[in-house]
Amino acid sequence: MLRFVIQKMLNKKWMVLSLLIGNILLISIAAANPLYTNAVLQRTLTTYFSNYVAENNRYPMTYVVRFGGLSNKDAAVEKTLDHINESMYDMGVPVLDMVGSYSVGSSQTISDLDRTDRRSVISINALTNLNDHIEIVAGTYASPEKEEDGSIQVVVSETGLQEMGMLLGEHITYKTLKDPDDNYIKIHVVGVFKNKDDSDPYWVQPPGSYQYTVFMNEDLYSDMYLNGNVVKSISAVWYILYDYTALSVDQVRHVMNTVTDFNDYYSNVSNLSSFNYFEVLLNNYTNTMIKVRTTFLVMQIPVLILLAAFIFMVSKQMLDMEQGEIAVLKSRGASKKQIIGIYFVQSAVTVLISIFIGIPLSFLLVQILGSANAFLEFVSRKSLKLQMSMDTVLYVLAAAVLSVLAMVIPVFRHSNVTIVNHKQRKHRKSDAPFWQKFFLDIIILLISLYGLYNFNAQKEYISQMVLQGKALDPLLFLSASLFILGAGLFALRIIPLLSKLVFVLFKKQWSPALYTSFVHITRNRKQQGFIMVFLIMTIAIGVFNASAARTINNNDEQNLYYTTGADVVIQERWESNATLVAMDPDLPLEYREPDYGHYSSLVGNGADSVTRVQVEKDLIVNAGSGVLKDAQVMGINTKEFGKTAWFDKSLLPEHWYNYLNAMAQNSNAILVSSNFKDNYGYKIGDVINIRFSGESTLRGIIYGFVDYWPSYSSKIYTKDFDGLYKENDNYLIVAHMSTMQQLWGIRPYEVWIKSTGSTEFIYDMLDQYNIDTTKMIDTSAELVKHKNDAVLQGTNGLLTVGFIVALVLCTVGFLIYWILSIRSRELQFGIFRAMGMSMGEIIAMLLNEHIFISGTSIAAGVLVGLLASKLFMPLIQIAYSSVDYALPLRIVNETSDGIRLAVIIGLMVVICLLILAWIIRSMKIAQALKLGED
Amino acid sequence: MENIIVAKNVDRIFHTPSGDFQALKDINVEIPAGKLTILRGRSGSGKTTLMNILGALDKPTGGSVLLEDKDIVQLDENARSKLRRNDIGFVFQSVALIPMMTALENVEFALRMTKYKGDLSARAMECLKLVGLSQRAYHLPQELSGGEQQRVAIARAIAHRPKVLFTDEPTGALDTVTGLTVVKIFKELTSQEGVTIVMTTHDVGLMELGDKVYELEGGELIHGE
Repeated sequence: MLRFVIQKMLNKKWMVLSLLIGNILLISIAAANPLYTNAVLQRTLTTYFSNYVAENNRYPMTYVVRFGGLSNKDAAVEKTLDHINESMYDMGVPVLDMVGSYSVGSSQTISDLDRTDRRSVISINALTNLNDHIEIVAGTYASPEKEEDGSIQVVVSETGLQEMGMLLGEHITYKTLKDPDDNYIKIHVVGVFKNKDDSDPYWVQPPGSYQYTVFMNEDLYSDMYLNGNVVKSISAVWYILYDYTALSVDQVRHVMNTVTDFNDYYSNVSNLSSFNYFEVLLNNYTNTMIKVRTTFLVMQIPVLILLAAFIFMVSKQMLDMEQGEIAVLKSRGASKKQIIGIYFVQSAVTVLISIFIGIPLSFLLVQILGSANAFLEFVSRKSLKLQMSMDTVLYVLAAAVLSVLAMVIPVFRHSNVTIVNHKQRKHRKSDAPFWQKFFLDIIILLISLYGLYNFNAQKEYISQMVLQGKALDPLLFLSASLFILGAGLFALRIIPLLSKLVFVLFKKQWSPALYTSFVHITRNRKQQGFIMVFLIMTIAIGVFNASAARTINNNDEQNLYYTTGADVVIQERWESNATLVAMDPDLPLEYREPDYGHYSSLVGNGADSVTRVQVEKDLIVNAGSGVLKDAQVMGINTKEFGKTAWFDKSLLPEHWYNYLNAMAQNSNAILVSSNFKDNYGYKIGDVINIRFSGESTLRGIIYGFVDYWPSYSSKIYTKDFDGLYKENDNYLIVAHMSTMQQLWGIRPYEVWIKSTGSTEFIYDMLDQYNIDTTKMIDTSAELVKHKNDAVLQGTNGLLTVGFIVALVLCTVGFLIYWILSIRSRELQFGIFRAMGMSMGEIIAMLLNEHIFISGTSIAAGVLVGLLASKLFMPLIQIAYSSVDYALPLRIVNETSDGIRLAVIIGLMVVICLLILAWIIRSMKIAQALKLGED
Repeated sequence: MENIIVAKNVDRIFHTPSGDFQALKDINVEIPAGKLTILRGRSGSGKTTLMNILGALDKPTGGSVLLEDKDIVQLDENARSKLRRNDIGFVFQSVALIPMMTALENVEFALRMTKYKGDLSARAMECLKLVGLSQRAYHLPQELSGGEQQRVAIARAIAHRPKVLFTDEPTGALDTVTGLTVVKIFKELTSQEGVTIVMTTHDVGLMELGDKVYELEGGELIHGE
């Protein structure tokens, strides 16, 4: 049977090829999902940890056990150590090191050198395996023996030596700290060391924290404190360092459970306590993980459905072609079982081949996904580390089963047909497809609209969930997909009516070629339906995906610029007499203004413009009858501000320069946020009093109300006790900075910079003058961070891949349709030729059909796609929003995307036409007539 | 008797993968105007090939075909299309109606092809009446019987008043009675409308209806009267 099936497949190589393409895509997409999700999650996981290292300067995957109390050799310390050594591998993650840090104590000391330029309070510690991690730069290692006079040899780090003003060879005696024998501890500084390796995680505490510590030999420490039966007071900390780079996504759950077990254990043993840095990290990560998984899965559903439908339809087409053969087999006594068997074997062979090609392809696909920067836009990124996991196998198997079902199910109907039915059916008029008969398109459309309505009704709730880090309801994405499907099918119901109308209106005037094309179009819907569905779907998905990706990216980008305010925002650390004021509250607080010239000289040297912005949050603002909390006053220099700040002019009813110009008329003019009007009934011309406690008052005259202003969000979200996010009004007053300075003196301000291109020059300047900043936001750098965000990146990747797949399907479907259509009409072409139609006219006729079928489908697709994005984007956008989302959502349809789409689709159409032309060319009319004899 | 078509020394060789095959060998025929000429022979004798050449559907590898003293072999493809469109009609064994058009539309379509000036529907209906099918005008081909389909094909072939009507085994797929009806229609067309008809057949019974009969075997003319 296998041989028979293979023979049969070879005979139908075009159809089999298309089936294979569909299957390969299905398998590779199915395999790519878990591969990609895991790779992205892995990357995110590693980033979570490495960001932690960068931000906190300590090794993140550290579990810390503390012991503080009395112990002797056989007692608690030893037991704890045993437990740690035994249990630390339960985590399942490689242990990099287990560092014990034993503290002897800390107290005032006296140096034998009798000098004052030294630090008196010194800690003494013992670290396990210290000698393996240090390099002696002067002197020797600390000896494991006490010196003759009872001194303990210690080593000190280079920074420690400097910070404590210690000298190599110095003898120091503690004033209050005693050893177990009740003698005051004496130390002898014998060596200075540095880290062997800068990034050695062994140094669990940040380098700075050891600056007042000397280290004794660990064996000596054990001799003195741990060995022997005398009970001593011990303070020890053990750091278990896990290799986070080896932590895989699948292990996260296990690690979290183990951490809980550890915590339980250590909190229940007296004298022990524990903590770790990574539990919170992993908790956050788990939230992201769920979000990523759901988002990725639901985003692929439309493509998977499209693929399954494609396979189903191609195999149905193939069956239609083979119906004659089946009927003959049937008439010769083949049972239904045998026929289904043949097709089962055929589908199994197809799926097997597809698995062999599809899995390697999925690896490639994932790399494409990983390098997507926006819709159909790629950048080179570090390639993803891919790993086959159980998930992948399961996904592939599920896809394989789905595909076999899609190929075998249509056989059930066809296998019932004998030659007699076949002949009868052949002469019947083509009737409406099943979905039209049952109004499936309208039903699907209604379901999706109901979903839309429902989600719109609970928008608040959804955004609350998203703010809490939950994933968006997958059904929402599904509604959007359903909408595209329903609307696409509905369009397919409408288009024939339109073409019929056109036909009736114009048939008298038409040339034979045009006339025939329309006869064909209006009377042969079943065959065209197949290709039209795919064209409409592809275009609709393409438009929707492009719009979705663009909207998500643009809104994110714009929001980032908006909330930051400018390309770069810097606040220097200002020197002040704050410490003096703290001692004498009567003193006025005075700041020393840093050199603004550093910034103003940047203009022309990389910066377009620079401005000072004074942001005050602790002012007393009188509004209505009381004092307004949560009011923010922004002091600006109108002209510079207008040039420097990032602002989308369409956000306000008038160009925002008009607001700035209005304000420039009066030094007491202010612009205020609209909530002053809405909540307190202020009008233009009203006065608001603004002051610091005890300072003079700024009487601001309202010159305008604004809903949006650079860096201003009208709402602030704060997490309440119940964990829910609460929305609070945020009040803004924009005043002249010069007026504020006159009244209240010079106070710290931010510097806003608009750069012409790269922001490198700012870093150079900061380095050059050694400027210390308390705030430094570089929007372009933030943007890169955003683009690397797993969810955003995956969204772009998946939307792109989804579209590419739809496009491939469409091309294949297109070719199948035209090849079949031409093959089945060879006889007809022969007749036309015999009747004197020229080859040119026949090609013109095909072209007419082509243009009309593709043209209407493309138009319908664009329409459906745009409609879908208009309806569903506001909801989907919520999934990507965050607490700092300030801008109104704008659905973005960029022309460049449209052009890219058009170019790709145009290319596809041209390629198809070339293939078709080649097929028609190779056709001979006289032979066509013969071939046609049925 | 005036000859509308004169074929001289026509050869037709097909180049096939398994070697050259000579379908026609040195054929000389003369088709009289306004008469029914029959090309007879078994299948594979070359009669269809000859007819395709006479009707400008196919080109001979050698020899000439004169239609009203003009050698159609020398014409380019476009001129041949035009010739077929205006001066020649075809009726095939396989009925070859356009499946998506009704009987009337099929006939109309032929008129449309020749840029017929005048009322397409009226002329189409007239032709259908001629073949006795006016009451089936609005049916699709698959709703008609074999004989009816063939009659539509004939109506279509004569609608634009071609100079020559070629019919290839028009009765091949029909039963004897229906076949005879069809040939009778041909006879009427020659006598009433003055159409020249060339018909191929393997049916010996129909031969006596022809005004002139040529017999082919193995690509050679063995009998001509």
